[in-house]
Amino acid sequence: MSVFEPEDNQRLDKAVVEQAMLWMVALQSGISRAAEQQACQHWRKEHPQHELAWQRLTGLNRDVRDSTAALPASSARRLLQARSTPSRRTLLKGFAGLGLAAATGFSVRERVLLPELFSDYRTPTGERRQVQLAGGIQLNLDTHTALDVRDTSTAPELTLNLGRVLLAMGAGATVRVKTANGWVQSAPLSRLIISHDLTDLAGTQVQVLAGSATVEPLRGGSFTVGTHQQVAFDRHRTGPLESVKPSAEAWTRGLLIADRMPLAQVITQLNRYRRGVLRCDPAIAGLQVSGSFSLDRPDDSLDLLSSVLPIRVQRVFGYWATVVPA
Amino acid sequence: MSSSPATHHAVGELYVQHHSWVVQLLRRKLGSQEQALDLAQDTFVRILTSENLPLFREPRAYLNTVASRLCGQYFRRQALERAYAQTLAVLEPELSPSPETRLLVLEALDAVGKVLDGLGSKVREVFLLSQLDGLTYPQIAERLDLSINVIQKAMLKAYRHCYSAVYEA
Repeated sequence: MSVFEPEDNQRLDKAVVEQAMLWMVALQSGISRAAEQQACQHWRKEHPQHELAWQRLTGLNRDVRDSTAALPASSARRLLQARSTPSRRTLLKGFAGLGLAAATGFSVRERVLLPELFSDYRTPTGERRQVQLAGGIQLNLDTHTALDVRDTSTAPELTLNLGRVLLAMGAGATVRVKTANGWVQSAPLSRLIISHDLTDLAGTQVQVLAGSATVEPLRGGSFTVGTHQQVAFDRHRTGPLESVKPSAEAWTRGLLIADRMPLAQVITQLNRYRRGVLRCDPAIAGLQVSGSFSLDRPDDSLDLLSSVLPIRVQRVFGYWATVVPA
Repeated sequence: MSSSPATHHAVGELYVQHHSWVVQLLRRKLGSQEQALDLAQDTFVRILTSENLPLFREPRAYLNTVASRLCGQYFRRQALERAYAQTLAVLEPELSPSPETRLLVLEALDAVGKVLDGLGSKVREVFLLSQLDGLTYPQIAERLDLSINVIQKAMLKAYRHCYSAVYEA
């Protein structure tokens, strides 16, 4: 594997490397000014050695990130600290830290380790699941979804902690779904998709395929979303009502239907169904993709993409993969 | 990888003369004959495949250094595996990653750990908070109750260390 291996064997002046590190430390501070960023750009262009030193450092950053990407940052950090101080005390401390991360609803997204330990229904990466609730309510859980179900005296109340679910209401059935951003109340006989905290969609999204739903954002107010309408909202703002694309429920059949979709977006969606880390080179992120792709076999879809686009998939162990220009 | 016939021969001599001594040394550190045999093997393989042909004037001092380093790595790997196992223990079986995934996660973390080996835990924490958590220096400073200046120095130290681990090893 090529992680933490020299990317080239050129000789670099020590002073140049030192200067590159000073730039890197300045620019990663989160408090660097535009003038500093420009000065660093200028320095990199001054000499090929400067750029090479810079590339080596960004390569290091990337390796550190990639090698820990399978875990939430806090867990990776605790494990690495536990590794370096092999005493019982530290191990237990690392353990406690993870518990805390789970309890405070740490955002996990595409990571392998799900701290959503307390959800009633969960789907691991790459799997979907159907659940039938009492009262004629059918749920279709997408990959990497965590959902709680609580029976109240009137109607079941669901909490969508993460992921995407399709709800199909029978006659006379209603359901109230809570997310971190508010509530969604579905009308009887309606079909709707609720998504929350997806990698390519921050906040909560409601897509009504049939019937209607009432949305009550946490920050106040309420409004109705009608058939073929969708809306996204979070704690601060509510987006406009838009029309639902016909391909909105393709995922329930294991399909991703792209209609002139940027490659980066296709990759992000496939990544939700694939264990490991999938990245897209920014140089090809904007390539337009049309076609239908299997979500159940994301690696086949990657191969299909690379047969029709000028791209190539670099795999490390099959676990990390980067899509790069061919 | 330099394994010329001359190197092979020299390491072969080293093996014949000092193998049992290395095993003894490792057994004292590890407390297990089996592990000691494994790591002794690794020690000689490491020497055979090292870029720089060692000076064999003080072979036992050299062997001691290599064996002790491997021993340290072994203990750290064990600690990492234990910590990871504890993490997984709280997950329900259906959420637990497959054995292959676990191994990949461990290998990857161990690789990062090896690059960071030798840094103090505070510097390591600063570096990881910046790189993994994406915190700004003011955020790290507040969290660890240190000054921003100290954070900058720690980051520079970490970069120097990682750079030389990869490019000057």
